[in-house]
Amino acid sequence: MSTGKPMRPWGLGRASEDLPEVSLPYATTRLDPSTQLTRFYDEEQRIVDMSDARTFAALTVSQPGGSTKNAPNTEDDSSSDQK
Amino acid sequence: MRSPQGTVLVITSAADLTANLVIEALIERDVRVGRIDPAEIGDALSFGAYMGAGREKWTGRLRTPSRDIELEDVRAVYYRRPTPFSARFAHLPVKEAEFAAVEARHGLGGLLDDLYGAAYVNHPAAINRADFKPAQLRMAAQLGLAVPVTLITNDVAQARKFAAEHGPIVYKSFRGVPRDPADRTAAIWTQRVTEQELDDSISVTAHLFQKEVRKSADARVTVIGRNVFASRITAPDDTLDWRSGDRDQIGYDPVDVPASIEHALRDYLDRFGLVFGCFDFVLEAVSDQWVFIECNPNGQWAWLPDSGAMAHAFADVLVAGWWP
Repeated sequence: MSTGKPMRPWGLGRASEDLPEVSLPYATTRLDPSTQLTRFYDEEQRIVDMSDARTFAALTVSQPGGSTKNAPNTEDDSSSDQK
Repeated sequence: MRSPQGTVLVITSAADLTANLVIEALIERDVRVGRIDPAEIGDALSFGAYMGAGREKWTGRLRTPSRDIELEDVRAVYYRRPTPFSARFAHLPVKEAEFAAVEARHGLGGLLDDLYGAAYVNHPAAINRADFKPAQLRMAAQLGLAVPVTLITNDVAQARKFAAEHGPIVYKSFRGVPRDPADRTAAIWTQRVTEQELDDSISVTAHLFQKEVRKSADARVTVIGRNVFASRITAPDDTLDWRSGDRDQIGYDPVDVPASIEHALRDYLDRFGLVFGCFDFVLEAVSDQWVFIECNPNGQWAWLPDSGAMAHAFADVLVAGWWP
C-alpha cells in the first residue's frame, strides 16, 4: 500500500467550474390523488405550468455528473448509483 | 369505461416531471395508475406482504394517502427515478440511517423488484447491469457496432502510449463529479487531452480514454419497445460535448437509423433484458459511419422533440399483453 502523499484523482482535475444553479420554476409539489400526476406550485400556491418545452429541457436534459434539481438524488443521467 | 383488473405501478420521486407524461398517456387509455416513491416509507407509505400457506407469489397491499394497491393487481411497473432510501433517513444518526436504508432497500425495494408476472420498464437489476460502460462497449462491439478505440486504465504509462498511438484522444469520466455538501456540482465534459497532460495521479482510480472520432453530428436513438425515435443533434463550431454549450444553439433533426444499426439496438436491449434504452452515437465526419458511444438504460428523454410520442410508446409497452 502506498504511503505517499494522497493524490487527487486525475479525472477530477478535469472538472468544469461549478455549474450555475438551475432555479426551479416551482416551490412545492403535490400529488393529485385522483390522477397520480404531480402538480407543481409556486410560492403563492398557484399551479405552475410545467409543459413549456424550455422547462423540460432545463429540468430533464442529460448532464454528466450534474443532474438538475428535478432529480436531486441522482448523480447524473443514470440511476445505478442510487441506494 | 370501467377499468378491468390491473394497475401500472409508477415508481419515482415526487418531483419527477417526466413520469407525468407517461401517467397522462396511461390515463388516456383509462389504465389504473399507482404512483409511489419507496423512500416515503413511513406514514405516507405502508405495506404488508405475505408468502407461504400455498402462495407462490407475494400477496398483500401497498398503501399511500391516495392509493391502496393489491400487489397481485400490479401488471406493469414503470421504474423511473425513485428517491434513494439513504436520502430518506439522512436525518437519523449514521448507524440508524444505514440500518433503516438497507432494511428498506432489501425488504421494500426487494419486494417491488419481485412483483411476479409484472412487466418492468425497465427492471432495476437490468438497468444496473447495463449501466456500466465496460459492459456497454463490449456488448456493442459483439453486436457489430463500431465503437471508438478505448482504453480503461489506472496506469499512466499505458495512457501515454495510448495518446501517442491514437491521439487526439478524449477523456470521459464514468459517473461525473459528486455533489458537495453545499449542493454545488460541476461537470466533466468529454474533452481532448494530450500526452503531456497525463500524470501519475491517473493511478488513483479508473480512467477512460478514447480515440477522438471526428464527427459531423451526434445522434440520440431512443428505443421504447418496438418504437425507435432518433434525432440528429448538432452543436455550433467544433463542440465535443454538445451538453456543455448553449442549449438554444443545439439543433435537433429527425434522422433515419440504418436498418443494421436498429437491428443491433434491439439485440442489445434483448441481451440486457431491457425494453427501453437511450443510445448515443457520433456520426463520423467522412464516412458518416454510426459510432456507438453509450446506452443509458434509464436515460432522460422528456427534453427530446418526440417526447409526446415517446410517452405513448411507454404506455403501450406497459399495457402490452394484458390491457384490452
